[in-house]
Amino acid sequence: MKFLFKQSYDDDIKLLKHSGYIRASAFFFLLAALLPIYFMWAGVDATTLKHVIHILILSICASGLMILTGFTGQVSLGHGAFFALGAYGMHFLLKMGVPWHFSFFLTPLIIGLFGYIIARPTLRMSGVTLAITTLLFMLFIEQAFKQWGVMGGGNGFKTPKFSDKESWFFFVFQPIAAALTDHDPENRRDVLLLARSASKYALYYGALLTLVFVIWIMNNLVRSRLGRTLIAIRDSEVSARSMGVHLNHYKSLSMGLSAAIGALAGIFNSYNDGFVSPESVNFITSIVLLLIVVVGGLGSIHGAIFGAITYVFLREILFPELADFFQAWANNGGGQVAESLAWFFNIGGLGDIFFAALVLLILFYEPLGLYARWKKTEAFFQTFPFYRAGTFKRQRSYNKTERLK
Amino acid sequence: MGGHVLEAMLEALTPFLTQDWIAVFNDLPQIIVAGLATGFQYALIAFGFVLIYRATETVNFAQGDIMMLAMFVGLGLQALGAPWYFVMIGAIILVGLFGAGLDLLVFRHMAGQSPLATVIITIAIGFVLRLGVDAVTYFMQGKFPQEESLSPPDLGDQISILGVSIDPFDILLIAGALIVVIGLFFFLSRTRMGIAIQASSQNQLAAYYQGINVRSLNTLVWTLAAAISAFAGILFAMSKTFTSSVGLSLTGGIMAYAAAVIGGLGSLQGAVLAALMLGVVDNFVKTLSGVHPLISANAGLIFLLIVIIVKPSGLFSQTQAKKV
Repeated sequence: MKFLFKQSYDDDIKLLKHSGYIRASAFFFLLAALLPIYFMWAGVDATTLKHVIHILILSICASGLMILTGFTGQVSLGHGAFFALGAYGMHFLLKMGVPWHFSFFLTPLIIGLFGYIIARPTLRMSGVTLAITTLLFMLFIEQAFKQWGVMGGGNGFKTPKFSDKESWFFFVFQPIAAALTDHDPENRRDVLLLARSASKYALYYGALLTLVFVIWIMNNLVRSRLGRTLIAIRDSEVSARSMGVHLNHYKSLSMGLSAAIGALAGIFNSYNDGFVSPESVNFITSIVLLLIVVVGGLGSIHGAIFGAITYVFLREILFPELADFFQAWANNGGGQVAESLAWFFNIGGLGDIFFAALVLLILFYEPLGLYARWKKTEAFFQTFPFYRAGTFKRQRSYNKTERLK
Repeated sequence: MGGHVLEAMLEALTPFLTQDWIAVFNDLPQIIVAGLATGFQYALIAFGFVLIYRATETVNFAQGDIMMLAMFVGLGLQALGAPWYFVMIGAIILVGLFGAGLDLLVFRHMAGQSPLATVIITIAIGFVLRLGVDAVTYFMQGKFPQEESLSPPDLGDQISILGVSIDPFDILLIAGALIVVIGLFFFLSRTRMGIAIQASSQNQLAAYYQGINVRSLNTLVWTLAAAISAFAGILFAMSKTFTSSVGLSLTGGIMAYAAAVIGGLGSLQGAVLAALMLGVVDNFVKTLSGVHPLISANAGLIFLLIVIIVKPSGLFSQTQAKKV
């Protein structure tokens, strides 16, 4: 156990409280930054990199939703709309001739404002109104995108490469990539391949830096006046209001913030998928985002990342791998059992079912998600032989209606 | 940029001005009856939603998916060769039991937990149901469910009442829905048990002190709500096609949730009236000619968004801002 000697008042509010925090952050950041280098060295295929980028994107978007759901306690059932609006807005601005860097910052700004504007009137009553409104809004957006001829209508459109040969990233990255892979600078095909993978790696670093930025924002939010206000609203609207908090404004503000971050993630997702279509706005995305936040643990910054890793691992890595494994077994004479198992794991959407079932179990046994489990494990080791099972016991309360006749 | 938006708005509004209104008004009774038939389906789902909300303060986003489950149970029963009334009764009983099971296995244990966790559990249950139905259909038939429908009962030709020609199935639908809605109003406001449900919704702990068995009442409420949405689902499935995503689609569950919200969440009458209004408005705009497809296909949606933004407390609100 670590003993902290606080020598100034700043020690209480520092972002990185002690050397352990610094070491851990540096470790994870370096790990993430060196991962593509390892991938290139080991010759890992492009799909794996795509999955890793997907984890980063979902972490960004889930962090945004965490502000709304985890800190402010409002449910949004249509967060996929902001995700898609980000992609559409970005590429629409690009089509209008706005420079890339400018539209990259402008899109989240506009969509954040948009989120604030649609939340403002609906939040006057209960939080359910917001959930329903976001749901309706998402469906309307989907229909509207289908009619938007400039952006390809129902078919959507293809996105260009994230970074082209002229970008600064390519000049930094190319020598490293060339040194690590079997690359012949005279061979035109090799050069093209390198350019394509370099664009993917640029996307990885772009998403990683954005995630770090979002985490930094969230950490600062939690220890600032705004963050404390939001948490106060979640814990008790009545007491927050008595303390002079303008409920409606702050709830809408958190909606706007999370919409902006969702749009940011949507921009990266459009590049990762390589195309954008109205189908990407479907409500499965929205609900999955909400479930990711819950699996990770409501009201924690780690939670969004834990949740995103769990989801992508289950849905896009574990289940296809299992299907392949059993298929290979069946092909090698595994018999009836192997064949039916392979068939079972090939059912589309099985990963989603298991993920949703996992959410049910987690909410049932650990309502604060994977982050609570993390905290408990930490406490177990810190207080090693003296950990009590009841340390984190939850308080129950009985329902009282909010409807006054 | 601004000019474009103005032009588009004008273009969207022109059809409303150039409409042949006399012809529309001649068709009005027809439109209203067809709208009521749709509206009553929404009303039944919304009724189950509000019933659970009133009794247990749980916002149940799985209601639409429970309805979807009933449709597929009906499909299974029909495949076994059951006539339409057995399909309906069987689905209502089975799904009602499913609702009871949900309460016994899940929601009973969530009492006293944070409401947010309970809401998210309902969303997850809806998700599991929807994907589970997909997987089970895939397991049974080797393909995912497509646009399915139940064969409606053969009730003869269109009947003409006062110059309005009505499909006899719509009469069955409206009559059945009316009986269920009025019966439940009576149950909730006049019987001992209904009043106990109201009491436990107002203050659970106080209801316990009065000797009301809140737990079993909640199970009853869940059973009732699931059975009502099963009834709605079977009626829906007999009149339209459906997919496994109907529980959260524009023609299904979402409209019902939205109707419950604009009806003032927690008011049964409000939910029913709002759902009927929604059905009529939706049908009315669809019959107008020359309206932009984005508007005519989403008339109900736009109506809901406008009502929510203009009057978020709902048309028939019961909730005031919470006071200390």
